[in-house]
Amino acid sequence: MAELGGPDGGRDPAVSELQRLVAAEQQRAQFTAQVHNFMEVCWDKCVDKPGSKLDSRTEGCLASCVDRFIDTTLSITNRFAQIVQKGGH
Amino acid sequence: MPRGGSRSAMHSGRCRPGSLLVPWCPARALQFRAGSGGAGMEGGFGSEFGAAGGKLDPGLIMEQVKVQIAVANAQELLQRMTDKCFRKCIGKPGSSLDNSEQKCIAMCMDRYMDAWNTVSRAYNSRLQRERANM
Repeated sequence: MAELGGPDGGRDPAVSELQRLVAAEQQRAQFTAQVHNFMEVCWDKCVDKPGSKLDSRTEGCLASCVDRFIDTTLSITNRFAQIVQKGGH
Repeated sequence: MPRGGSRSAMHSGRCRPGSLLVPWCPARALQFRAGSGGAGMEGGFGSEFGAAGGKLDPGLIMEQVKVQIAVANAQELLQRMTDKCFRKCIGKPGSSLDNSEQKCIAMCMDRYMDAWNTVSRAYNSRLQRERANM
């Protein structure tokens, strides 16, 4: 997105207000996109045959799936940083 | 399947309580979309976006931004839901969708949205926990 309001935009309070609001919406949109990604993986792992409601085991699985996926991401990030630091590829 | 999704699929009529962040009411969101005349966010800040006499109206602009985001989210949701429910419900594709397949699709849609909400809550909790630990 081009700079809001042009080079003088910073002086217009409406523009800075808009920047603030847009940034908040972007954060919300990122959250939503991330939920879609989790669903991609966790639906397959946790939901067998869709029934008339989600039972508590499936709900628990979905919640755990999110946490474990995040843990995995952190684990991989940390280990990869170590590998790279040791001069690997 | 083209990425736009189909309008006919969205006339289920009901507005469900949605996720924490995005209202799940695609039919209404699409009505707004038809009126705004913009397909996406390239439209620039002209007079139709709440700029009157050179002054910006953040409220009006943000309202349209939120609606467009909601529409995009609904399209994303429907595309993924269609993919997952097709895989779960349709075995060998026949010459039409039989009754059991249609029932399965309906249940799958509801469960997909329930699961979406569960995942959304779990992610939000995790984010809050991480923030508390910083």
